[in-house]
Amino acid sequence: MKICIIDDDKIYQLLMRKLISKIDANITVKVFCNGEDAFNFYKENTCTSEIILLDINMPKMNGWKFLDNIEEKKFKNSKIYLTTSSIAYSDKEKAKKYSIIEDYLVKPLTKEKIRELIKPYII
Amino acid sequence: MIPKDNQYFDNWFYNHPKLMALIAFCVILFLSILIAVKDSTIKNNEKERALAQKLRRVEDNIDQILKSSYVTTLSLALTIDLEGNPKDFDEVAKKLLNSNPNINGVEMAKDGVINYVYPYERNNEALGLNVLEYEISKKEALYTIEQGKMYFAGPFYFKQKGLGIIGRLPIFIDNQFWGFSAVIIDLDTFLKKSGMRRLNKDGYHAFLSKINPNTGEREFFNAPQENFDINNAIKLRVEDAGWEIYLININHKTHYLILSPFVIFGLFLALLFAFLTFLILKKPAQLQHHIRLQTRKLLNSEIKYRAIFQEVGLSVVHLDENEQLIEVNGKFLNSTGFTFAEVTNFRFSDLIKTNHDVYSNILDHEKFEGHLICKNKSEICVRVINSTLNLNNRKTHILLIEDITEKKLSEKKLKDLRSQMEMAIRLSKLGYWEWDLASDSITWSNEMYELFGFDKNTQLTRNLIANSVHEDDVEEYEQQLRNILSTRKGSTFEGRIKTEDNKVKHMLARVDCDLNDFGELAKIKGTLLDITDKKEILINLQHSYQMVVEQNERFLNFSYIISHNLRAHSSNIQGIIELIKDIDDKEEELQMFNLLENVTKSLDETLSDLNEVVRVRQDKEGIIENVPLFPFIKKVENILKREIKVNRIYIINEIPRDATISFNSSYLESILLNIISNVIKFSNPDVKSEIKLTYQENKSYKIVKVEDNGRGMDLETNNSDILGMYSTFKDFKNSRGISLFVSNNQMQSMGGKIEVKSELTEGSEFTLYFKK
Repeated sequence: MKICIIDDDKIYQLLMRKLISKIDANITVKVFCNGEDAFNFYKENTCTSEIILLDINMPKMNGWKFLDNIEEKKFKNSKIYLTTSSIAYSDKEKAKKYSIIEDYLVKPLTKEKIRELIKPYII
Repeated sequence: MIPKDNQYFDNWFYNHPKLMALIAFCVILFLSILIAVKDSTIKNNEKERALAQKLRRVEDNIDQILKSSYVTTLSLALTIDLEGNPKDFDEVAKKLLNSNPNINGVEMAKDGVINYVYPYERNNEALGLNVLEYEISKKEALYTIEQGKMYFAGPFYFKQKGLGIIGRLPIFIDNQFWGFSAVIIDLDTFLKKSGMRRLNKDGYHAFLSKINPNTGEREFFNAPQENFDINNAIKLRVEDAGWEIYLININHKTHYLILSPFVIFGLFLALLFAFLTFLILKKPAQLQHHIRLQTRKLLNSEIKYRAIFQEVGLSVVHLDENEQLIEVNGKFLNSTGFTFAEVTNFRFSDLIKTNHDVYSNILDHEKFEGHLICKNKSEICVRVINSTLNLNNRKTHILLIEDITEKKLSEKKLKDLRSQMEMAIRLSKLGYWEWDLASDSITWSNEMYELFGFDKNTQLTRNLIANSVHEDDVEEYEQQLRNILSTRKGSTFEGRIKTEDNKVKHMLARVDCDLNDFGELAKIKGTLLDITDKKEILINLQHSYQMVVEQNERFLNFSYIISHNLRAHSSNIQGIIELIKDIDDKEEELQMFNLLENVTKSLDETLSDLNEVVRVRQDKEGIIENVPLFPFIKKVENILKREIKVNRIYIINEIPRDATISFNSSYLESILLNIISNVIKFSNPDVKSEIKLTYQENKSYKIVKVEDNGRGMDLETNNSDILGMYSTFKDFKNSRGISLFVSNNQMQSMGGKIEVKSELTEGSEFTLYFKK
């Protein structure tokens, strides 16, 4: 199983890696530091990660722009979760307009939440 | 006044000017003809006398010829000797002829037979002719013998040729007829010697006539060749020859009476007289005609006057000098309710009440007002027009009395209304104005002067008013005026004016148009209401509202910053703590605490950044002053000296030296520093870097533009809100993304703004809008 994290927060990245490895050491974690890097990568490749955790506020290309630009068919096997520290109502409302978004998650993600997310993929 | 007909007919002469003229013409013409006739008669008599005188001279001459002929024949007869033969005939005859030029020849005929002739050559053919038997001379010869005295025969044609006369003297010797002694005179000689021929040259003509004894017909000799009237001639009878001598004036022409100068002059005179007579006689007729016309007009006027007197809408009263009413019209009686009989009992002063103290003064006025007292004691308000007339040295008055009761009432109403309106205008501070287009004159109510702060004696002109309009509203004002003038319709608009003491006032203008009878614009008028207070309240309200909206926006922005940035740290802390709970490994725990330390550091930075943002807000009330722009740019250049040098930046400063902005000076320094250092950071090391600073102004902002030829920013793909907090760009690692955010906040707090235009590799352009 693969989880992709698109977030500029280095600390968050580190925390997520630790957390996920604690749950299941077999899960591969792929990290992009901003939307642009991720976009460039998926322009060439079809997404193989089952779960994508996408931050909103990032330099160069934010989460919204990333969603606007990607080819959706490349993500047909993936579930995209918007993960943000923002508790702003406006962001939550905006997320509802994107059908590709599986859910809107508020940081920090707890161990239980991650377990819930990966549950369908662990036999 | 009207002339009677008989009077008119009495002047018969005056009524027949043409006939009189004709009579005058005839009389004068007749007189002139009479004079002409008389004149002609006198002239004729004179002529006849002159003719007779001439004829007398001819008679004398002929008498001379006859006498000399007689003497000649007698002398010849005396030469007869005893034997009965002439002695020395030729000798005697020659002498006789020489001494007597009147005769051309002599002859002697014994027993009627011519046997002696002298001159022989001329007369020899007559020798032997027996005159008593010769047919031509027989009768006259015999008549001579019978008469026993000398008798002249002829003129006739001689046997020896030539036309002439022969004077024969019968000679008796012892009572026995011997024969004839005769003289031969050529007719030509006769005419010459008798002076008849000479007369021909003087314009007369004398000629000879005789009844031919043989034929019994009258023959004329030396008669004029032209036709002549024998009746015009005078005649003389010569008995010794049976001649009649006629004398006529050949020059005598028939004088036509009509051509006489008297007649012609008379004709003219007659015509002139006739014309003058006509003119003179016609004058009275014309005057008569004139008088008749005037009479008719007078009659007409009188009828009109009657009609006016009775039917005019005014009361008319005719007074004598003692105020007694002579005549009043129906209108007066109707208004007062009196009958004419009743009204004559009053003096006029009894019927009218006026402000004048003494009645006698009233009628000295041409116009006065008063109260007319009616029969039922009610009063009518009247205006009286008094015409004073002098008739036969007695004053009379015609009074025209107009009922002005209603007029007075409406005047009072109007006055009340006016005072009410004036009060309303005064209380509402409504200015009223009028602009008369024809005379281009402007009238203001007192309030207008107060609104504009003008002295009341100010000369009002369109320019003066236009100059009082606030400079920002002048265009709108001119446009409104043009519209009103072209559409001829009123309008309502707002605008500001500057008063004399430089106060700005907001005005609400209502404009109406007055059109004349031809639909042309005659007058523009309107009101002006000072709405400064209302306007200011409204503006303040708008300001407050805008401020609330802005603050709300900033508040949202702030909460957003907090939710994103602060929560990022807090969520990280939460995450770390979560992990720490599960960690048994000491080393890993330490790692987590280090992480936690980093997070708290970041949190602290964020908090201090936020503090700066909040400080901007608090400093809003900082000192605003007029800051000269140019030295500040220099100051910033000085601060950034090192960076400028390292990056080899060339700064083009086109800011005018006198440009100032009213701003917080520390903000200004911070903003310029931020913008310029930002520009330097984005400079392109591959080209010669330039920063250009320019300055301009528009209606509400003073604008500073900072342009560069650096690397530029891709605003499309990057976060477009580069002025937002923590907006950072590719390769912009040393920027915490807070400076532009703070600068923009500072600008906004001072009512300004920052605009950014940029494209990757194309450089960028920062525009700073400072509120005026």
